[in-house]
Order: sequence, then C-alpha cells, then structure tokens
Amino acid sequence: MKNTIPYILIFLLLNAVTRTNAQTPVLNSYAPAAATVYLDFDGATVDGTLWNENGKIIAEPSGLSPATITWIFKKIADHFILFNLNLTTDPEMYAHAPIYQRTRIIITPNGDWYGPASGVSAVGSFVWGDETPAWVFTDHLSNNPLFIAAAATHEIGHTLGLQHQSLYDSYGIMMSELSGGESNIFSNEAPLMGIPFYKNADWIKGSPSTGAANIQNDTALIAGAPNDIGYRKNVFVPGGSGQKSAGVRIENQQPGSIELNSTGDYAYRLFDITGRLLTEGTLKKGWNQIQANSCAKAVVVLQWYNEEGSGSQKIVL
Amino acid sequence: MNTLKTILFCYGLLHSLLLSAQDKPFPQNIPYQVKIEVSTEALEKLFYSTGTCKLQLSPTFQFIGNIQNRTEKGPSVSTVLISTENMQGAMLSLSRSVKPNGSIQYTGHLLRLHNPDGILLIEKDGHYYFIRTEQRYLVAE
Repeated sequence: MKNTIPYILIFLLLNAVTRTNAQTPVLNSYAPAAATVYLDFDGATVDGTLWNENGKIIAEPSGLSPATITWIFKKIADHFILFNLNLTTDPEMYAHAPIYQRTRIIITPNGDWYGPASGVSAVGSFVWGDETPAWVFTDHLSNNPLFIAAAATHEIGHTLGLQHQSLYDSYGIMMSELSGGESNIFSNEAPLMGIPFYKNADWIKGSPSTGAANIQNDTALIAGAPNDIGYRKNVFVPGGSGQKSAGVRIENQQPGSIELNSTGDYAYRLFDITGRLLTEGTLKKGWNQIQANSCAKAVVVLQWYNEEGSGSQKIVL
Repeated sequence: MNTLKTILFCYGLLHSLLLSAQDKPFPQNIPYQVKIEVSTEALEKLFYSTGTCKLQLSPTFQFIGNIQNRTEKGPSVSTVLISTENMQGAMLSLSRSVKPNGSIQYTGHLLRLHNPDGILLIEKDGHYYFIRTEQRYLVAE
C-alpha cells in the first residue's frame, strides 16, 4: 500500500500537468469591441451548417501548446490592430457577441471531410447570424505556427467578405487566382488574401478574383458595410509597453485620406515626395483624419510638431 | 413594331433557356443571369415547415428538402437549414431577421460543397431573387 501511494501521486501530478497543457489560454485582442472573431483551438462538434452535407462533423482539438496558441493568436491579432474587432479564444466572449457581427474559426488538425485544403470558409459569413464556422486544417499546414496564423487570417478575411487577391496580366487575363505578391527581387510582400505564407503578408488594395477591373480595398471592406466594424479610435501611450514612442501613429491610409492617432496637440504639414506643401493644420489628441484630395495616389510625408518636439513619417497612399 | 419584336424575341429566348435547362442537374438547370423571384410568403413558409418541404420557385425550379436544423437567436433572428432531395443534397440556409425599424430581412444561399456554382438569395427593391453564381465567390479556401 505504501508503495502504491507515490505512484498514485505521480499519476495525479502528471494528469494535472497534461490538463494544464491542454488548456487554451484565454486571450482577447481588443475586448471593448462588440464584433468578435472566436479562434477555437479546443475542437468542436458542428451540425446544422452548410458544411454538414454528410452529417455531423467532429473536429479534434488543435493539439497545440498554450505557448504556440498564444504566439499564433498574437500573429493573427497584429493583422487586425486597425479594426474595432476583438479576436478571442474565449467561447463566452463569442457567445455574448452580436450574432450579426461574429464568426468562429475552428483550428483543427484534420479536414478530410472537406478535402485537400488548408482551410475553407463561407464568404461574408461574419454577418450571416447562423453559426456557420470557418476552418483551418493544421495537418495541411505542416503544423507550422506561421502558416497556421497566415491561413487563419486569410479565412477570417473571407468571412469578412473578402475575395482572393489575384494576379492578372496587362490584358486583364487572370494568371493566378491567388497572388503571391510582386515577383521582383526587391519585393518581400504578399497579400493576405493571396498566398500569405512565404513573404510579409498584409491587407492590400488590388484586383480580386472577381475581375481585374474591380478593385478590392481589403481594409475598407473589413471596416465597412455590411460588417460595420469600423476602426479603433484608441490613443496609444508613447514609450508604453509594445508601443512606438512616436507622437503620431498612422491607423489607415487611403487615397485622399489619412487616419491617425496622436498623443498630443500638434501642428502638421503634409508634403508630396518632392517637398511641395499639400496641406497643413492641427492634430488633436486622439483620433484624427486628414483629408488631402490633392494627393489622390502618391507617396506623401507627414510632419508634426509642437514646442516639445517634432517628427515625420513617409506614407504610401 | 420593333419594340414588340424585341420583347417577343427576349421572351422567347428566356423561355427557351428555361426549357433547355430543365433536364440538367442542379445548378446547371438554372441559367446564369436569370433572377428567379421568390415571394416573402414562400420564404416565410419554410420557417414553419416540418419534415419535408416544397417550394415551387418557378415553372422549372422546384425545391424539395428536409429540415435539418432550425435555430432561434433571441426574438429577432431565425435560421433554418434544409437539405435538398432533388438537388444532389445541396443545403439551403435561410435566415430571417427583424431589423430595429421592424422590417424583416431574409438572407440565404443554396450550396453543395465542391460544386462549381451555387445559388444566392438577394434582395432588390423589396423583392427577393435566387441567382446562380460561381461558388468560389461564396465558399473560398
């Protein structure tokens, strides 16, 4: 009996450790936002959705460690830092989100029920209100955290209504439905809605799979109708943890318009790349928008200053 | 006279398209660019059907299916999922929501995984239509 007790204790201890490792950390990227994307690493049983042509789907838990989940979560969240949108691993946050402003991304090893794909989603399902989830299949991504994060971001983009960013030739003929970014040696960027795995991927403004003449502005579509998410209007603390110590942070730039957060009151001037003054004015602490119709599509330089200091930043519109 | 000829020609073309589509499997039996109007009464019936339900959407487009799932999310949103019998198991998902101003809005789609095309329910000027569209715009990898 004496000999058995240590074994029981070791078993209980190991069991506790295993359970702790199996738990998904509770993470929220921006809890004040109502609109919610639930990253479900815990496995799920899905029934009664368009995916269930062949009956109930039992998705296994991702099997990823809490540290890996946290890393993936932060990687995905970085792509949504502009938006008034909360990414969460907490099912309670999802349950309390508005049903027309939420989606669930199930991150699971196996997608054999669907076929050979690294993920799949219903375009625009974020606003459907019928619990249609999107999927990321980690076995098809070699269980590589970087690939999983990229694929999850891509699928979230689809649920928010985005189509693939595609590659067209000069005649407007589609060369590839999924754009891998510019194919010159100087470019190391790719669209998140194209092939986001091998380069620095970001939202872009480009020609989607619906046609070369159609322009899809990823960030504007995510923020706008019918998602109605909008942009964050938070103020950052200079020198605070994880924040840049600059006085102004650009939140969104589009031809003719720049949205930014400012830590204080500044005067600003906006120049084109040749140094010609385009516009000037004042920035107030918090969220600001600069309208500059004369710089419809260009590289501009924003300069801001007050008694305490100054700064400048190049912006591509 | 020319206008009358044009109208008759268009009517004949549309009619022949619909007739030629009759024998083809879903969704090839629904030509592109043809909007099939569906009344809100017909859509509403689907939310109260039990077991097998039928919906005659047009002379060539009858929908027969079984209710798979029905959900109510609060007082304002209902969703019904119907598995079709005569469309190779395609799933019709239909949502009905009451907007803050009291108006009712329907959204829906009829899809079969890996089919090249699907059907989308759209609203225009207060009327609802089913339109055939490429499925890669509805389901994407």
